Amino acid sequence: MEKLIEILEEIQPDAEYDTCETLIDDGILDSFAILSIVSELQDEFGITITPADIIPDNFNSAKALWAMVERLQEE
Amino acid sequence: MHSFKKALLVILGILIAAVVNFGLNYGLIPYSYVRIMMHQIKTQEYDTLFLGTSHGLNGISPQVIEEKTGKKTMNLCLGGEYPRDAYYLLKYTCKKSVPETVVYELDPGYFCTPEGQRGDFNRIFYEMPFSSTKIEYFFGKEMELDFRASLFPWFYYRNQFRNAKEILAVKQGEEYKNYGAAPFQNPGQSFENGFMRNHPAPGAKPEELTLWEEKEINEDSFQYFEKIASFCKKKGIEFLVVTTPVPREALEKYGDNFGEADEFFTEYCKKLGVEYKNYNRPGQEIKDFDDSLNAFSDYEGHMSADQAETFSAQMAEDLLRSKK
Amino acid sequence: MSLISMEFLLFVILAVAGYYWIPQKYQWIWLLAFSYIYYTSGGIRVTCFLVFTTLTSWGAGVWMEKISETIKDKRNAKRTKRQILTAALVLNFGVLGVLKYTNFAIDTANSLFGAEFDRLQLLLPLGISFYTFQSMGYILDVYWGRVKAEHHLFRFALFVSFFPQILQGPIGRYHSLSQQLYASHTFSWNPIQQGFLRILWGYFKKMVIADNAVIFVDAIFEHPDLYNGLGIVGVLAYSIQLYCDFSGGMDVVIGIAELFGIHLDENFKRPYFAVSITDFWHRWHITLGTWMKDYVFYPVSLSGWMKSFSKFAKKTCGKQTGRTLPICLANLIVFLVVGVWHGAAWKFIIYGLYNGLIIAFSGLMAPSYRKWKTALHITDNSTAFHLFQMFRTFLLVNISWFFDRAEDVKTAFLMMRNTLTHFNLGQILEPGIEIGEASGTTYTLVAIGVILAGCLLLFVVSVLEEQGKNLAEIFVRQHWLVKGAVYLLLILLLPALGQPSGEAGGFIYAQF
Repeated sequence: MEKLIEILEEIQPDAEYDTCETLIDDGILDSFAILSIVSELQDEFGITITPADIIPDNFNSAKALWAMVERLQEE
Repeated sequence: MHSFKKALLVILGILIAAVVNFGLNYGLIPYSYVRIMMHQIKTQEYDTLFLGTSHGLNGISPQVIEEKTGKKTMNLCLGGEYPRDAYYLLKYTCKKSVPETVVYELDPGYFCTPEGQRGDFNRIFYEMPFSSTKIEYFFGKEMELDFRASLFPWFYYRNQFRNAKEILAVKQGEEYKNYGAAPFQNPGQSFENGFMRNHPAPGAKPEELTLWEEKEINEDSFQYFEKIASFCKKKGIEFLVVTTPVPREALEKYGDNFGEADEFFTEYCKKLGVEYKNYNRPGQEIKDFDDSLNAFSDYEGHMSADQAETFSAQMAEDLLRSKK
Repeated sequence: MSLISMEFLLFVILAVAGYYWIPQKYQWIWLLAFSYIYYTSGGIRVTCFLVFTTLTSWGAGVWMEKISETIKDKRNAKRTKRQILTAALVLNFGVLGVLKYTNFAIDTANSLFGAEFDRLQLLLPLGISFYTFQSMGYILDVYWGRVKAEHHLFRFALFVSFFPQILQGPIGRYHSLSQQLYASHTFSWNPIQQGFLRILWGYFKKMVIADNAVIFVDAIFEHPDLYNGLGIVGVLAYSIQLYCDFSGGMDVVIGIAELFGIHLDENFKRPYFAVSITDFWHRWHITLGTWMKDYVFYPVSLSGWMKSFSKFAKKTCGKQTGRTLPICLANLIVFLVVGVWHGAAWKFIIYGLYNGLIIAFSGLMAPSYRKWKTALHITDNSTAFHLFQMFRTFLLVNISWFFDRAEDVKTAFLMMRNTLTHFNLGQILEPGIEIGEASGTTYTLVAIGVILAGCLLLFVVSVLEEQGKNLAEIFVRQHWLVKGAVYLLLILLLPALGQPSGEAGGFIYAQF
């Protein structure tokens, strides 16, 4: 989780990742940022993210992102 | 109850809109001789009926034809009258009485251009008195058009607001009430004796004209032309087609194109079993007719009043001949 | 059936009246029937293409779901599903591609290799790219497991053919649109009032603003030599025309859907207030943009070969650039597709690439921009900076409009050069710019006045909306006299200030 926040802050510094739950809905993360995050997560955690995973529910908060990472690690 | 009140408000709104709309139609749409024509075919019976375009309106004197043939004649040719409009005019005329002969004055340009959306193009529909034919006309023409054409007829006359005062004055006058033609008497052109008497000014003449273009066919025009032909057949009306003469200068300049058009429509009419007489064909004689540009107001072929009478006399003779 | 024709008006009135009159459980069938009447009025032959897309996407959806349920081996199931998906995509995009681009390919071959192939006479079913995109989005959603497949063929047919949107969008998404289409809707005055207002507003934008602007656009772009001093007027008029024509059409479409109680996705959100080209595409033709993002941009970015490219880029260019570079490439591909979607011509390809390059460039430069801004003490919230960004974006957008509207690439460049070197506003009063039935100065001035007044009204409305005000809801709460007056005024302005809408009365985007 800490590593994840680190990645997020590097890519898009202007957001409160601990509390924000509307990263997509409020347009804080645009598609460039999303793909940058995806790219980093894949490298960092050795997971494969598919287009099917790119839905607002998975990207709206750091918590949701982390849940997705954990789920994909298990698969 | 609440909903009922709202429905009433909707109806009230529509009524107010209708009243405003009626007022704008009255104040912006100038009096037109189309209204006279409509009144005539509504109230009188005719033996010979001319349908067609502005060339026919300028070039065919019903009075001369009437004198020569002894048949009561009406000229319903109008600028912007496509075969579609002509068809519904014919149908409306037949509600009063069925003519013996219908002559369609054919301008090939009307068969290869889309029916435009400017000026007076919607006038025939607007002036036609309410009737089953008008409803049919609505479905045949208005449905495909911009809804403003039928809902707000004043749309095409919105620039007339500067002349609203004069328009109102004319519409409140006696001539309007009695379907008189006095308001259409102008020095260059006057609507008189059932056709447009044209007095072309000497000097340079406009050269633009719509040439025949077989690739640009307006299928609706052909379809409605055929409808006219079969309607006549069904009603036992003799159906003839003519093309009025154009100035010699135009023939010299665009002879090939006129030739092609003539060939095309001669062939086409033959297929339909309809007699077609084109007065621009080589060898066509019109007695005492001056075919120089001086006698026309343009290359397109709008004749002067004198020439129109000469031409009409010839056409009357030809009509009598075709009867035999 | 054009959106501004009398028959369309009567058609909608009949459809709405019947919709609330019949039992609610038949409402969706009623919509389907009207949608097919609407589409077949354009010809039976073109309807075959619609039916083809409906059948193949319905079949593919059902089949893929069945595979997931029956084949236990996950990998095996995925492979089969992938094959079905590929077949459906190839078939449908194949039809679209052949119908839309064969002649472009022939022209290109002829000019490149001096060949002399004849152009083909191909049917182009109305709205084919809109309904194809909508259906293909659905298939991909089913493939990814985002939505459940629709088993009822006729319900699915309604999703593909819903008549207000089929000709020019907005491109709908199955998960948000389908339930609304199949649900029962009880009559209520509010959506009727809002829908009617929206429709009138759309016609106002189209007939009063766009159709007055088009006179200048056509005159200037079709005679770039005659009006060589007016390039800037031409392109500004075009930016007005294009926005009002397209978004006005959308207002009519969305308003009509609202009469049925159905909310379509918005396609425009004040695009000229955008602060960057990226932002612009989030506000302009939104449903195309999000479609491209979800179904082209992400899949391409996450594809295997893009991953390899990413690894390679990270190794050679460093982490940050290496990470962004593949995204930029995917973005370029998306805009290439967007460009080609706009039309089969090189100028549209350039138009697409131009947008893609700007976005890619700003993506690559984003970290540097951030540093510069900190160094220069610029905050994103400052009004001046915001206005500067808007102006810059508007400028960049207008440059792209030159490519969109000019006859070809060469003319576009020529006009841009003349704009800088030959600027001469006086030409606008020269006779030749024909308006309606008359030409010359008086009417030109009237038309300019109408355009400016219309744009001012549009601007005020846009600013209020940008501030988050829902004007339609505010409108509904007004006294009935106020509402009646607004309706009456808007209705009368259409004929009073509007121009006839071209020979066919068409909207620009109805040809896609």
